Amino acid sequence: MTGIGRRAVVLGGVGLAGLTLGSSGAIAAADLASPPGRTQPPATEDLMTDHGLLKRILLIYREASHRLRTGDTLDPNTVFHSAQIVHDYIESFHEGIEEGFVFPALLKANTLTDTVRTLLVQHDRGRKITVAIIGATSAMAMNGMPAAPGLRTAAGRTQVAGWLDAFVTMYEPHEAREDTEVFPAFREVTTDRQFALVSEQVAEAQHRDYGDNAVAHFLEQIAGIEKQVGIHDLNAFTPPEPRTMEGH
Amino acid sequence: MSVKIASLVAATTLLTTGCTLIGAAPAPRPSMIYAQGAIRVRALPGMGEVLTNSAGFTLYVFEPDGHQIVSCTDACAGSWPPLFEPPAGLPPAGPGVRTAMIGAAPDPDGGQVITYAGWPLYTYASDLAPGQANGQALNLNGGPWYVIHPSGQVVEPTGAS
Repeated sequence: MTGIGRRAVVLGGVGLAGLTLGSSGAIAAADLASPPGRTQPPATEDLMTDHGLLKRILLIYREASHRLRTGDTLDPNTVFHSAQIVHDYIESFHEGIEEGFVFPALLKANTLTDTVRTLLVQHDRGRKITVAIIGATSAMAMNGMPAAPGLRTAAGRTQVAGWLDAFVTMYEPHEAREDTEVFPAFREVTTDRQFALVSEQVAEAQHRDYGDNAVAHFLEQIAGIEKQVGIHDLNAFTPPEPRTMEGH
Repeated sequence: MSVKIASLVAATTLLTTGCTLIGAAPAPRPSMIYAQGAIRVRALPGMGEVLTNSAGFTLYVFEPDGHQIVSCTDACAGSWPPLFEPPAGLPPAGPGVRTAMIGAAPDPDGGQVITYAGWPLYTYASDLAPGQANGQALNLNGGPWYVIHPSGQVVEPTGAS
């Protein structure tokens, strides 16, 4: 069944149940209307998965910044490709969903208004940093500029490292705050019926804009970049057991 | 017909731009944010006079719209809430704005988006106060966004394609 078809079914279920059942009854109707095995994940779960994707890019950025500052080898394309994913998916879709569904609901409920304003400022700042990173690391020579023009001098590499660091510094608390405060608050102020509809719409829009398995596709690309910059082995992040002073 | 994210959203604009939330009925059709009051003109540093909504928030055009269609939908419309035509009809032109240039184009998800010189008009979610133009020349959602002069001329920065 197509996304639109599934949504029509869900809408039908809600339409029948929404007025007479409690909010939990409406969501149950939506669930019952979904085909077996095709349960729609809640929108907030999708958004948090996106945050995991972004977190892995932040780890790439951190490693890239380290290499730029130490002079270690770095393929500019790893940064360029990561920034393109941020631009094409996180900033163009994920943040649009937040700005279109999540933030308005909170503002309307007069909840976390200062936080939302800060998050909106940070979205804009992030988009501008991403544009700068893409321009500096572009893999193609364009408009008379060489490939990766921002990385050709020590000063340029330091500047790009600063942008990467700034992006990481901003987005770590940004997404942590959204996961722990903003999304739960959104769920709190949204009826079950509306939440089911939003979840369906988000999935439908994602499918329309990016096709099937969009996040899996991006994660596959990110895994490849992680290998390129040598941070793909999860076990490598495991520290040794702590040794107390008494152990010496 | 898919439900429009853009319509849902503009509550960001609701708080910050003084637009009116009409038809706040529950789903399935989300609320739509309509223009309230006249389209106005405001001088911005480095850009000259540009169009704003009645609350002074900067209006933008989207290059992929190609001067005629509304192509920013779904998540795009979350970040760039379209300026919808209210049920009462097209908004009036404030001082310096040309009435003849105000029109409307159909949104693929329903409703009519107000146009100027053929360009559908949008606000930017990250403009949090009148007089800001944080979205100017930003390349996002598949193309660049620009403010527009009351003459109908799109204001591109020097060197922009």
